[in-house]
Amino acid sequence: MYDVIANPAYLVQLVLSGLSIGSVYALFAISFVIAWKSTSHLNLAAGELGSLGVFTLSSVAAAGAGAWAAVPLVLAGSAAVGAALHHGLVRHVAKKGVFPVVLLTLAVYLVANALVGLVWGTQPIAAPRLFPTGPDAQIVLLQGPPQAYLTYGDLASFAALAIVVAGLALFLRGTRFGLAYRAVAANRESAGLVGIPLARTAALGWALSALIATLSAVLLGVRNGSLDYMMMTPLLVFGLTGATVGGLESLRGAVAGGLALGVLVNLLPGLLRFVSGDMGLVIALVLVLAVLLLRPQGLFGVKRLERV
Amino acid sequence: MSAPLLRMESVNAFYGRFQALHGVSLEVGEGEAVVLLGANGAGKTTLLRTLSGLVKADGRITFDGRPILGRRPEWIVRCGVSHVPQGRGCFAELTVEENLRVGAFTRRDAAGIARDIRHWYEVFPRLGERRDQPAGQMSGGEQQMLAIARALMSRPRLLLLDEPSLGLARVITEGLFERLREINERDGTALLLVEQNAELALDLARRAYVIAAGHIEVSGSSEELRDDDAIRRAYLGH
Amino acid sequence: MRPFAVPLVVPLGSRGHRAYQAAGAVIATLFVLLAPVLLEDYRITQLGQALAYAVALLGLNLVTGISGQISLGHGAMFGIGAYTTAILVSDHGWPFAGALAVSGVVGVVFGVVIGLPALRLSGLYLAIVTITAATAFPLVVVQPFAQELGTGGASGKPVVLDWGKPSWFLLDVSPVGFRFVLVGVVCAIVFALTGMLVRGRVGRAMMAVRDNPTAAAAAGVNLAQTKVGAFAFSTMLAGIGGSLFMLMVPIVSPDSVGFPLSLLFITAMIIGGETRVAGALVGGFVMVFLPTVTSELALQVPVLADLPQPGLLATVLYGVILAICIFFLPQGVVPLVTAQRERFIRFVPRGVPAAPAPHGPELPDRTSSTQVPAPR
Repeated sequence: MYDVIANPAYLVQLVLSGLSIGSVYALFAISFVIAWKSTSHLNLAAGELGSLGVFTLSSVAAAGAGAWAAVPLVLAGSAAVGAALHHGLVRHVAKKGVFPVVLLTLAVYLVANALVGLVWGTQPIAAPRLFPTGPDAQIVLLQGPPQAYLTYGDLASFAALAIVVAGLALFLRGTRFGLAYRAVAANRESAGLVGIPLARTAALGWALSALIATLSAVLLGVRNGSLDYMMMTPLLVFGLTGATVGGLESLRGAVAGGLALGVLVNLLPGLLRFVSGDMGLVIALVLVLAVLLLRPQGLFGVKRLERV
Repeated sequence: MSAPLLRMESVNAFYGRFQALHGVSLEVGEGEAVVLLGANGAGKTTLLRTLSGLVKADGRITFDGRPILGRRPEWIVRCGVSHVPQGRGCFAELTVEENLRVGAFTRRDAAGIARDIRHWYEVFPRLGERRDQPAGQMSGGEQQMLAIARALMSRPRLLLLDEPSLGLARVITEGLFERLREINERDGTALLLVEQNAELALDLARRAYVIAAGHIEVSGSSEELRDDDAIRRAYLGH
Repeated sequence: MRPFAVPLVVPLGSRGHRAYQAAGAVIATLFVLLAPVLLEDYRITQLGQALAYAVALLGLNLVTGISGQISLGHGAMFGIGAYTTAILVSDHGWPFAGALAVSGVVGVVFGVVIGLPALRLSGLYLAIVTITAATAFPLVVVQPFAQELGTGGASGKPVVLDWGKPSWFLLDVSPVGFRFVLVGVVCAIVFALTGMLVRGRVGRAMMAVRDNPTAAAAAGVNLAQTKVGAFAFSTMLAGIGGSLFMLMVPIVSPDSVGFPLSLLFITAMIIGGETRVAGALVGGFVMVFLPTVTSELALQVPVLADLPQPGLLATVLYGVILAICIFFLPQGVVPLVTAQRERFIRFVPRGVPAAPAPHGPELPDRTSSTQVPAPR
């Protein structure tokens, strides 16, 4: 712990990296919350749909289309798949309860994950290059040693989070359909009673969820420089944790939860000796258990949960 | 008499395998105020929910001559039916004004919507005072006013109200029913009111039905029901 | 022309019913004793794995089918049992029986720790917590502090089992064969005890909590205790299953006990269905034999034979089968088989007039709901 405190640059770096990866977690948490708000169900397949998206992007980019040009196409494709998933499959089992939907999204998870492995192989492949990576592509903030710096990957993550948050805020608070969306999240039955088309709202919610999940997968892959077919599995946990900690109905909560988780996962190994760098998932588990024990509705959630 | 605005014929409604309504027939005329009385669990709420398309049913329901049974709630609203559910069903996280705006979701005339919102702030001044507050923070009476105003934002021809007096103080309820009378008489909105509070309801409505165990047992004018001791004792508890 | 004009109607609990059950028990005993004599070690290992999985699946059946909750971390609980047994037997020289017992206890403890916060809330939170636990478990196992406890790190933990059959065991079986008999015996005991539990007051309480929590609470059932108890019982069975698995496959590694294993358990449970004994057994066999069957099938199809990763094909198939079951077979495969049996013998509760069976599956001795259970 002494190293960290004695070196402000090191502390700043840990926090910055934490916020950076936290932005990716936050984006993924948002993808859960946005689907949850429109249907009260979790889209557990979001990560693997994102994985499909980023692998498709790498193939399209490799085929000569250019990575940046392919991004909107891939995002649009994901949105379509997300909407189709809800409209075609989930909607029909949703009336049977929570469990069938969880199972169905897990089935899609299995199939999508295995498809990626079958089509692109189980060995890591190079990620599409959207911006420069590598030791020279950095902006140094504080001279160390060690230095505190920001990579293009960090900047891209912050930017993506900011754009998505701003875009969603604009949609939800500034448009008629956004108001309808919030109404569905607040009280689904009453929303139907004022004439809001519930199926279409749900399709939109799941489309956005898949799109944002793909965005987070792209960020993750490009930051790491490589893609592998299991890359989104830990993110499933981090995204769920971020969403739960923040409160499943709250977009603000998803952002806060994701960022906080990112910082914690980065900071704790640096501060505490016995926590090794890979303990991120364990930290997530402890955090989820703690939140559910102490404040089940999450930091920003509304206290509406059933209690035993 | 011209065809009634709403007609239910031999409607059976089901929750899963449980049958909640048995051969229910009922009518509401254009601009009429009708009340549905009955004890807890008799099927009053189920009947309204069936009209709104929330409950599976068979039989025949027509609104303005068009069959509406089996249609989705969002379609039925567009025909001109608006439902104030039991417990108000407000959008707790949205502000009062947003609740009203979303009530007008089926409308596209921005100017008209704005005018209607101002109108409701005049009718229910408390709503105007709290226009930017989340609906969930308001008292029961205020939420009830909001729910009614929200339901009327779509300019329905028939308003379904499920126990508007539930949980409200006597004074508030009296004020509420006054507003409902104005809405019915001045705006010509038909009302189908479900109530346990028989007195105020029979004052407001012209005709009444009594439902028990999913069957319509009695129907007649409000005077008839008010004056008939046997009916009052059997179905209204006094 | 069918052999019987009308199916044989047998009241539950009657002598005829008992005879049927006894016949089943005899067949099962013969199977457990004769299989190791007649089959080679390779097959016996597979059958033993299926039985070990079946024990774990019985727990999963209990917590989802009877208690109505979603556990997506069963693989991790299975893994904890396996690791506990491996460490105690290999590093500390414990006898297997003791290790088995401790594995069960460890399963209970983790079940309570993980279940308690989530079970006061809706079932979805248990799903989230168990997904997190399932994904975190393989990582914990490779941590330095865990390796100091003896988990063996990424390469896995082997189990040293250097005993063969005792001299009083008269059948001529290999060491593997004897271990299979042990697995079979433990399996039978577990199934019998669980069956008693479910048919008794505890089982009824669990079903009440699943079907109508408010009514159950009003009737005096402690909802939290029942839910946590059911979950802890299921994790105990998972731990026991994992321990038994070590008798058949003497090594456990982080890769084999992660989230994918939990998903496989869920899929197998759905395919097997919620009928306790039969469903768990069917599920166990599916888990062992489906990947083999899939790979062999894949080799037949020219397009698929060239795939770089044929093992993943089994996963795709799992996902598709799971989806199909959700839509068309929410009760799994077993009711289809039971329907055939019902053409010949029907079991009815006592006091019900013995009317001939209408055409089509009518299951008079089932009290659970007919849809995939929805946790409240």
